[in-house]
Amino acid sequence: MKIALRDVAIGYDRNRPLQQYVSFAVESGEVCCVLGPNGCGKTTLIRTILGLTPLLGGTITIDGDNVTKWSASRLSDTMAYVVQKHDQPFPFQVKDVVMMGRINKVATLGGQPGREDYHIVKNAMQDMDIYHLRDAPSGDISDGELPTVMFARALAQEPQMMILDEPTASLDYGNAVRVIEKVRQLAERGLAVMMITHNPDHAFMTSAKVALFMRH
Amino acid sequence: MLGITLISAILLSVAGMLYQNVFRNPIAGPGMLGVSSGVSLGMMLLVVLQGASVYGLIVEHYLACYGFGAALLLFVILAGRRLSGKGKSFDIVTILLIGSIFSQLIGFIVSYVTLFVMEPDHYEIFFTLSQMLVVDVSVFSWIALGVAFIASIIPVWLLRFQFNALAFDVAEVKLLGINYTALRTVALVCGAIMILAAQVHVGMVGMISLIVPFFARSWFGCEFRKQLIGNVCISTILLIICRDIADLIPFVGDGLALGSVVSVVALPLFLIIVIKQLRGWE
Repeated sequence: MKIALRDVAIGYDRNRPLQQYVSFAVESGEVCCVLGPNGCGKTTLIRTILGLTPLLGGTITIDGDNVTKWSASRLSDTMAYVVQKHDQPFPFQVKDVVMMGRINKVATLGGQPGREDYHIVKNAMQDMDIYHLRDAPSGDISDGELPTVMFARALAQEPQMMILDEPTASLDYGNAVRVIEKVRQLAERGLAVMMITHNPDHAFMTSAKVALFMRH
Repeated sequence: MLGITLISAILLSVAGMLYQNVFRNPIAGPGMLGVSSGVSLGMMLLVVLQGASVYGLIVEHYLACYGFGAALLLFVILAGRRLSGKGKSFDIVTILLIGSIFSQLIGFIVSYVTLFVMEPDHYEIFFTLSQMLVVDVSVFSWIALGVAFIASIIPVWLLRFQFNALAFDVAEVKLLGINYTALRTVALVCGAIMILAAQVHVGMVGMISLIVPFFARSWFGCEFRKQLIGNVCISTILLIICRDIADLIPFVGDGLALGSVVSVVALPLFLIIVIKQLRGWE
């Protein structure tokens, strides 16, 4: 799988784009770290790739196919997004939050998660070392553990590409290193990974390509 | 009468659960779209036009109640969709505001007409009907309730796993590959049909839809399928107890208004919810 951005313009005002002429590509097995100061449009770039913000110019393709025309379901089959913030009004158990990663696979009318879905969710939690937290309400776990739950949910989606927005932002040093190590392992497994980070060391730790953004 | 009470209890609690998930608010109620005021308006017009003969007009009674309730719901959804901001096909805040405005407006009209225009004997009929002091157990009542029950509960049952997504952030849900707008529309319409049917058949017992989902979440968990089972169990038991209490107290017709008993029984439970909310997580 290869995602390619060509002359992409991003932002919220067509007359004043945050960034323009952005061109780079990420292939299966590669990690691409997106670095840059606050407000330069890193998260907007990801939101644009994911179809949450309109593309102002250029093209985004996956294996030559224009992503902006893809349905949410098809995008979800291909890409998983590890959110930076997770706002939850109800205390779902951790296993239920991770199971949400399977929702697109059982989205048919009357569809329910089967034995295989539960197995995948269990593996995702074990992968992220949060299986012991499976019955805990998601509101009771620490701020440091929550990103790993979101990571497990993304793994449960079984995507070809993982997009992470500052996955280590609220983690202590040990957990941050574990998450970055997990990112490296995902790339070794053949996933394409795009990761926003403020830490240049993460690029070295994952042998990543770097897309460096500057503020205009 | 027990059967109608049980079905209405299930409809009320499931409607509450749906709306609390859609609005991502643990104390949201299904009356927020103003369907209840549509039912009151239909009932009031029927009493004004037909007077005492309304007791014999079973079909017209249900047509007026269901018709006005459904018409108001449709109007609120269409107006909300029209007035939603550009690029937003279904802005929940706009719909809530429109529902609230029309609910208040119709509530004012109904209050004004019943207090200052209606004759006293007509007011008594309206009160008896709107508070459901006499529960109709005719075949037509069963058919109307049955149709509403099947039409609203089957989609909820089929989508019981997908409805978990309603409680998550909109952007998150879209990225999980779910059509959030469609899912939310189904939830809102099914919830409105449920609350409409329950109000037409057992009267204003809105507290059930407020407190039962809370306790179902606390005792059965937040996962929608577990909540659904919890709501069915708790609501039926609670409404049967309230129905028995209402029957024991002589008032008018079958007894005290069920809605009044539910409010008295639910008040301490609601206080528990408020205290728990102040403490943080449920």
